[in-house]
Amino acid sequence: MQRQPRIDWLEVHTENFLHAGTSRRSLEDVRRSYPVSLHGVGLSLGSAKGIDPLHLRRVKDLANELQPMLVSDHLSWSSCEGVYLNDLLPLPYIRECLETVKANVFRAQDALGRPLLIENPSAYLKFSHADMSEAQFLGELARSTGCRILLDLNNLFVSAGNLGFDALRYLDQLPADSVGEFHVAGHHRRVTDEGVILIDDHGSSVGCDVWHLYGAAVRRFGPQPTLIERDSNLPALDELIAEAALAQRISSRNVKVRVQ
Amino acid sequence: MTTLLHLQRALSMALLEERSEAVALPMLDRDAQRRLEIHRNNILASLSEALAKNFPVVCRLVGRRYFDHAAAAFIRTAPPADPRLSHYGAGFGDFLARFCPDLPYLAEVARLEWLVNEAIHDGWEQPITLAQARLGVRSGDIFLKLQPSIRIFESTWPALAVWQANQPEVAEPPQLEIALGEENLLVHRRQDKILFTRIDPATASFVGLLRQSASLKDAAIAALALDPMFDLATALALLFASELVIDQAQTVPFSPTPYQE
Repeated sequence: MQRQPRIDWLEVHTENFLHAGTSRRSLEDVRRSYPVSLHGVGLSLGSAKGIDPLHLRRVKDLANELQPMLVSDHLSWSSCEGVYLNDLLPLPYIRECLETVKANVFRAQDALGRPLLIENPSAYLKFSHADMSEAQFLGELARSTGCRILLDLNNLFVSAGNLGFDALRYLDQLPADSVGEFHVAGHHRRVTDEGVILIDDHGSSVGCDVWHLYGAAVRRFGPQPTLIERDSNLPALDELIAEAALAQRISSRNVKVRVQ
Repeated sequence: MTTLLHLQRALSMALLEERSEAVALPMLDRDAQRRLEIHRNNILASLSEALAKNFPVVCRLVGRRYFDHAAAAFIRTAPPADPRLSHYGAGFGDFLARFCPDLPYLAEVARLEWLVNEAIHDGWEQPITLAQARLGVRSGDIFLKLQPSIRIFESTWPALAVWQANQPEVAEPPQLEIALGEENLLVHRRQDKILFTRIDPATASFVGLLRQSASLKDAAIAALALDPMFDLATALALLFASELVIDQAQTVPFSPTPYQE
């Protein structure tokens, strides 16, 4: 922070700042210099029994104080009857589940007084039954609740690889005006006796395949705020800034393609 | 019960307790068993990491491998309820007392670390001075509001010396000569800095009662009952000098309204 690098905005992990302690005040300092986006993992928008009102209240208070440019969370669940599992667990894409997520998103948006951005998670598990694809599920959620989609190209690449679907077709299935933010990040390949599993670790640099998918996404959804997501194995700040600059170049080149 | 709730219950159990996978499996596609393991690892590793952040001294004392082993057992018996992982680990000290009874100091260090962690995450507010508190006004009961981040550590082990010798800036912890005995500490922070003040049991009781909104008079009487040598002026000087009082209130003494015709 002392260097005050020239970046457009910053995204922080909401749950790290829901208290009155010292790091909350550091965030207030950051906010004075940069626009901030609040990216959460704790709302558990897919919980069958609804979202925790106390947690929602805390997020709302932080958002009121910080006036973030965006507030986001994930298309997943992490809490079940008072136990918080701290992982973005998958939802079956069935109609009943769509109704549950819709109700939870309406509730969160009412409390926050603004649309949420909802991110596609990295998937490893496939359910034995589905009524629709993830892209159709997200598209319907955006259409009915007014929420927007935070499209994580790394998660999309990982899920497509692990569950065996076409990532480009996924982009086509999402409504063209529904995406409000991109994430790009790294993953690693784990080789097992039964094949390769892609693991989203937020601790590797962004691979070519993901940059390629990012270019395709910018062509379809236009340029959107883009975040290089890195939560562990942090490299030098300059390396991160270089990755952000690469995203900027890919984004502006693809926008030109779109205009032509 | 709805399909979604049934699924979430089954998966929670399968992920936290390795048994009961059987209920979840029919709802999942092929490869599910191995892939459940990815989520199980994510959950255990990330929660263990959260505990290591909240209990860095315990982690340093026993080493990360043993810490992860103890944390895994704790996570299974007491998973978090709150998505704020900085608030995860109340009860880890008591758990360690049962889990490794041959290392009794470890549980006490963990209890101290938990209070430090709470003090870091609770608020610090602008203090008032002794003059602003107007303690000289004699009518009614006086109540002192203390900093939210104050904690009181009462222990049968001198955990602070172990805590201080194992801070990140100490590369090689010195051989400690620990005099066994009770330890009472006031744990607090001034802006961003955590501070410890040794106090006697009567002062610990006095501050503890003020925190629970007892009046100054009641807290002082209780402290005097515990130790006739308790000195109210010294205790108040400590609270004000350490900037721990943030507000005062006074009740209006009972005065019967004169009868009016």
